[in-house]
Amino acid sequence: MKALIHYLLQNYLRSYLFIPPVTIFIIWTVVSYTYTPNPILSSYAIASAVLYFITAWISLTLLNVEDNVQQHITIVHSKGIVKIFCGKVFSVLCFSFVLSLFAIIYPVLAGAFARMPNTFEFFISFISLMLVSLLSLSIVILFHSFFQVRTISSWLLLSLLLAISLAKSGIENILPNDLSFITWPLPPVLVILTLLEDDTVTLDIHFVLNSIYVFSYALILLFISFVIIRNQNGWKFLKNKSKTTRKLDRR
Amino acid sequence: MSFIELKNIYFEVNKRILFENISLAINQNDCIAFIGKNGSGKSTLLKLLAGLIKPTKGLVIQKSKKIGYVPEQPPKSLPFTPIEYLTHMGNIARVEKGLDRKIDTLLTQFYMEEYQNTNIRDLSKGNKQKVNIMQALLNNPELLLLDEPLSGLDSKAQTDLIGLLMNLKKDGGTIVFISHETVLLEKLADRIVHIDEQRIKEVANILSAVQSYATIECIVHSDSFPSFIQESSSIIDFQFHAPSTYELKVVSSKSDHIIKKILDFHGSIRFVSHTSDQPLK
Repeated sequence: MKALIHYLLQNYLRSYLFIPPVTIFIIWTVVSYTYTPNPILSSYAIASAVLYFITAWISLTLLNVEDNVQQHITIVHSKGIVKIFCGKVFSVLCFSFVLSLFAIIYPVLAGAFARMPNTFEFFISFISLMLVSLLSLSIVILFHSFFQVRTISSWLLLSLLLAISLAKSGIENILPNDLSFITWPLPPVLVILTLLEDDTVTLDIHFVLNSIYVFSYALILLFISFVIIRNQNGWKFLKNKSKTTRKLDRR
Repeated sequence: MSFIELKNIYFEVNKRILFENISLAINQNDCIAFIGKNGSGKSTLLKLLAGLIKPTKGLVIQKSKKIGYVPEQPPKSLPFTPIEYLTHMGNIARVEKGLDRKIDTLLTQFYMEEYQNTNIRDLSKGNKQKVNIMQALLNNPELLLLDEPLSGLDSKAQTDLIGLLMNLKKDGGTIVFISHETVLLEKLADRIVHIDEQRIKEVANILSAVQSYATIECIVHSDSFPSFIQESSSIIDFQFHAPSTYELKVVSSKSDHIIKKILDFHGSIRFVSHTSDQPLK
């Protein structure tokens, strides 16, 4: 797995596809903290919203960094789609980790806050940034498993989906009460952002439960994507079978 | 028990049936060649064996732990040198010991030492194909799947590759390949499987597999001639040399029929050869 992640990251870095999203995120962060002072958690909430889109961008470009031929070669060497899937997920999360750290540390170093954030604020902000990234990644992977996003129209559709998930509460307000349930399946990114908007938030059961909800939602999307991708592919990792036999069963 | 077995495979893609109820048993140390016209499903069958795609119905039973796969075209736009790329692939494949030594050996065998630090994007087609083949040999595969492995290689490299494959076969490896090159079929293949009309058929011997073709070079100005080429089951392969100039490889017994069709399209015949074991170049 380590070798696969190393290969994917090096391939992605050398492709220079990471430059536009990372550059935009850095520029946005620098510009948004130009005027001081800034509220701590609220500004991290906005950073999370931006990272939501940036992670989607990075996910899409990293998922497609190999052409079809190389993907086949990598699958054969990895002996299945499981490792590839996990490798790509962790590779994107590596980028999210670095960008989240930057989002947390830069405003502190730039003196953008009226006071130094405490450990708790650092902790929940970082967790929120990573959760939002994970959620974005899981949406992109699910979308990619259906649509194999390579065209501009697919990009636009995905952007629309991400934007609608951010506008979830607005949509709920517009819809009649009887129809508000339509928005339930939408990604719960606002759950995290809304928590951070309140500067008096504490690490209570409310925060923990909402974090678990978002994490679980992302995991479910990843699991569904994994099942779809695995069924499209010839490899099935049948761990309960003999090590010397792999069956590619009929459906 | 077979090393690999395809049982009652039915494969459909985009509402087109590629295979209908095919079964094939491949024993360990077999060397099998898939032949057939363009679009018959040779590459798809190879991908089924590699586990890259699923059959629509049927069973693929595979016992090999180490597989090497050489696709028809080398990957595009790899931002690595050959040594970096092979190191990555070897690490991903968990080549247990001596990966560096193995890579050095392969680079020497394929005369790629001087290019080992050149970016793959900057290599010639033949050298890219060499890298494509080397990655499949890294883990000393039990099963080696090759799709047109001689494509793009010069004659020395072709000879060296054939020697390498023969050694692999001698060491107990199982090889399945797609090729139209007579030399590879003659020197390597124990069995030849002809894929045609959604079915497979084992050809009795290499002579009957390769000497059943004729090469026809013709000039046809009609716009509908390419469609005729695509639809004709007698035309195995074709190349387009210059505007309206075609080189067709046809089933020998159908060559008269094809010549008549060319004349119906108001074309002219430049060249017909029944030394049909010469592949198209």
